[in-house]
Amino acid sequence: MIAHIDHGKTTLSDRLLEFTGTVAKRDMVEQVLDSLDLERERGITIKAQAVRMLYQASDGETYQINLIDTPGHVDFSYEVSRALAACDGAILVVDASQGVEAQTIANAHQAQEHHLAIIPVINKIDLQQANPELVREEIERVIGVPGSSAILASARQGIGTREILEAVVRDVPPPTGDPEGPLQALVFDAKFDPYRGVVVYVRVIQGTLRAGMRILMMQTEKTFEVDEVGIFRPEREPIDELSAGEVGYIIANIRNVRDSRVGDTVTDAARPAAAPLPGYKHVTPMVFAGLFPIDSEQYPALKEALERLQLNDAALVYEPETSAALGFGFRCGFLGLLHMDIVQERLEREFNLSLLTTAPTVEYRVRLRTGEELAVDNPDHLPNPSSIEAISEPMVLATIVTPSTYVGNMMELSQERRGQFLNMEYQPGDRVLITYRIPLGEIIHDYYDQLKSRSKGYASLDYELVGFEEGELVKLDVLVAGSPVDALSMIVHRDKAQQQGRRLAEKLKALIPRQLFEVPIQAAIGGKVVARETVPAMRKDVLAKCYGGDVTRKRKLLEKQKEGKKRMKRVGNVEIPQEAFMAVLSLDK
Amino acid sequence: MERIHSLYVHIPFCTWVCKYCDFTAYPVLQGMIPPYVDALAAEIAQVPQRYPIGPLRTVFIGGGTPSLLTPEQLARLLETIRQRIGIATAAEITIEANPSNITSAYAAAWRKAGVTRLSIGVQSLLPAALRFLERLHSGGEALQAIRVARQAGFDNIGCDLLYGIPGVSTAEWLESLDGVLAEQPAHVSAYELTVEQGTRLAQEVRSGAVVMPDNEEQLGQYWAADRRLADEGFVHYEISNWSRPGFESRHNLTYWEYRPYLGCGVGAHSLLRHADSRSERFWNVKGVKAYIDAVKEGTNPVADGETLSAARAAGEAAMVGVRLLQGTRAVDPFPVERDHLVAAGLLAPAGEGVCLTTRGVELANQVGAAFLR
Repeated sequence: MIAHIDHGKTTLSDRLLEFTGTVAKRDMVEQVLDSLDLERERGITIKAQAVRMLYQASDGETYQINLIDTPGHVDFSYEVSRALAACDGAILVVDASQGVEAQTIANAHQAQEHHLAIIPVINKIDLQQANPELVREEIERVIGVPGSSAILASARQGIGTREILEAVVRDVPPPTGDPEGPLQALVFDAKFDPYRGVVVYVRVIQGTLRAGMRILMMQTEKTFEVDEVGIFRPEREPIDELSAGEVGYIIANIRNVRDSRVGDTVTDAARPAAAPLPGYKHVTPMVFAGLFPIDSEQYPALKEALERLQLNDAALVYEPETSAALGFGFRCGFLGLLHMDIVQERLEREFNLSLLTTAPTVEYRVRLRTGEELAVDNPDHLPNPSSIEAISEPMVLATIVTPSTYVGNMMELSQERRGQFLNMEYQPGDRVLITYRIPLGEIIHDYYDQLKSRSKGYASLDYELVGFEEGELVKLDVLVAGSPVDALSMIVHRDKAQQQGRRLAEKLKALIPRQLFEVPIQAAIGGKVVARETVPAMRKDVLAKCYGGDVTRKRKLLEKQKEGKKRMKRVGNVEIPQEAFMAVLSLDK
Repeated sequence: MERIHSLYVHIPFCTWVCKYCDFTAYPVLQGMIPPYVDALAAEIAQVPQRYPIGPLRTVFIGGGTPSLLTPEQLARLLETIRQRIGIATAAEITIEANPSNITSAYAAAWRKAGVTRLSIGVQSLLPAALRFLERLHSGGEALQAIRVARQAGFDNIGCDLLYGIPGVSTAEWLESLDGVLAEQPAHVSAYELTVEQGTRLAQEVRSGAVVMPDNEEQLGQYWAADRRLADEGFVHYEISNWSRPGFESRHNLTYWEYRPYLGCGVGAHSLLRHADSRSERFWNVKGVKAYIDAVKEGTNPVADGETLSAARAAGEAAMVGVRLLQGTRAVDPFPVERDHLVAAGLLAPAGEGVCLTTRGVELANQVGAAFLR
């Protein structure tokens, strides 16, 4: 099941589970398939989630349908692509009032690339602003799927549920793999269970998987004995075997998380398949940031947490990093800012860590005068300017879908962000599809928030990396109390450097609390100070009265203040709060 | 457990609860005082069975407005304390009094009952300031009250003053201070007017109806007063307290020197010091009625409390100890923090211990926090 974010995939999944009796009505909670607390709290899906349903169709037969619910946010398109590789068909959900949006197009294209049968569903038809006929036209014109075939549904009111299941039975081809053939199972996800080791999520393409079997991971070349195979309903449920066409899990006492890679092929060690399955396109992280434990003693715990999380989040990459200001940590690559935010929150919650994230940056390609090429994903690692011949930055092809009223705003925004206009197409229903070539570094600096706020929330965005381009880029350094803070450095376009330096200094001044002494903040380019602000020293912090009845209250007050300080990072003599390291994110108006 | 030699007695009633006050105080309700005094006497009588206490070296009757008690009620309380707990010879017995209540008859009766020290809530001599503070007396009445007390035989008189009052200049503040100093008090407490949460003043500040003076102005008035008091021969012995030599409030020193004390009455706090250096603090219930009922039933009117480990108790002792500006040894268990604070210019060596520097006084919370975990 695929869709643009908030078009109602997860609620529709809930209805399918309910209708097929997979989850009893009394056990039904909202967002059944969102198992992370974070997903329920934010009302979004982060992880694709698999479940098996049994459906008795109108032809009297009972069919086994394996459903994977996917995330809709652009950052998680990789999750979608992995899920699609394990599927035979896709239900494409489109909101009846919002129509086709940027991720609707992107996800539909992915499904088409995998040659999947697409079942379009127009959801939320009960809404007053619903315009299903217009959406039919959009689906036909923009996606290239016959609009007349779209099923009208309302997940909230349970309309269209049966029709969707019937369409799946009718339109999605049954699996073709031979259950007796040599085993080929695609690993599409994994999770670490502290008691049982790695739980491997598989789609069996050919052959049969049974407990007791010896399996071979074709990429890592490790073998394991299968303890248990099972299916998701939606909780894990052991069964005797998983055969061609089925989706489920394997537990095989895999203790080392690196031994099971997403995209690998599981085969029978005794009778291996001739070749592995195609697997996945290697995922490229888009943004990079440092993750540091606030308490340096948590470094080993952070290392272990990253290993475990990576198993469940194949898009996360990391390597050790040392910062003069922040100590030992990891440089991590993410798919986008939401992904970064989610990773930090999952690490903090699921592993009980307290972390500081530095401002995200993109990866630059630096050509040195010696002819050598370097990839730089940390502004502080930019070589001395005199040795640099040229710096290239990653560019994306951004697709914006907006009502025509906001075209001017969208173009203005993209122009401000050094975008090159490529194309504009009018779509049915007063919608415009605009494409720009924009530096990724500009996108990650609150471009998305601006896009939303300048279109009153109506515009949507999708982007993909299209290559690197040389630019006039310079490094902006920040000095706090006279010492450079490596974690605050950023790479910016020369034309914007001075203005950004000024704004950064102003923001830091507002974010760094008063200390016992005056704290000068300077922004510098190549050693030349371009902006200066000063955080004045704390003037007064004293309570007039402290008698017998005041002591407890006063101690608690001071303890609370101190607790707040512990959330800050001490750089030299200065306590810098978390938010300061993210200040560079919103320097553009 | 360390024996207790200091007793605090709380009288929670006021004719009018001033808008800046967040103490446990209630507008006086007809008929409430007699049963409250009965309950207090009963609690005091029970105290020696509960804790090792007495003979008392200090007794402090605070409020609220203790001078609202009739001389008979006050005498009865002191008599109960003397008989049940015991009061040492040459003990310091203080009562807080409102200028309006200080008549020759009352003052004489207090002397007779054994009160040795008066703490008078003068606050200001300026009519505008007194109006702002909602005080019901005039400046002239306050000065007259000091004279009346002296005539009755009190030589240990302390005056409480407030500075940093909106609309009052430094010059006007010093005029009030000078007016009070002309009456030769033995002790002056000068408190910055503080906006406490939940008070009407806090509401007025939030709504913008009142604008408090800025830090610079407040500190200007504070240090100006300190200079004037020093010129008059007063010793600055605690952040907000000055006295003529030998006239420090001995009761309040108990708090800052972190010695044990017992509090009786509504909302009163107590501190016990265990032999293993743990501290135990507890406080009485807050409602007058709840307090009276608890005592009547013979139960301990304690609402809640906390026990601090030896390490945390030492931190708390240092936090309050640094308020003593003539030097303290309470920081001794924290050599690392001490050196750090000395280097930062907030503490300076004083005798065998340390004391706050000028800057340290201005940032005393930052210093105090250093000793907490």
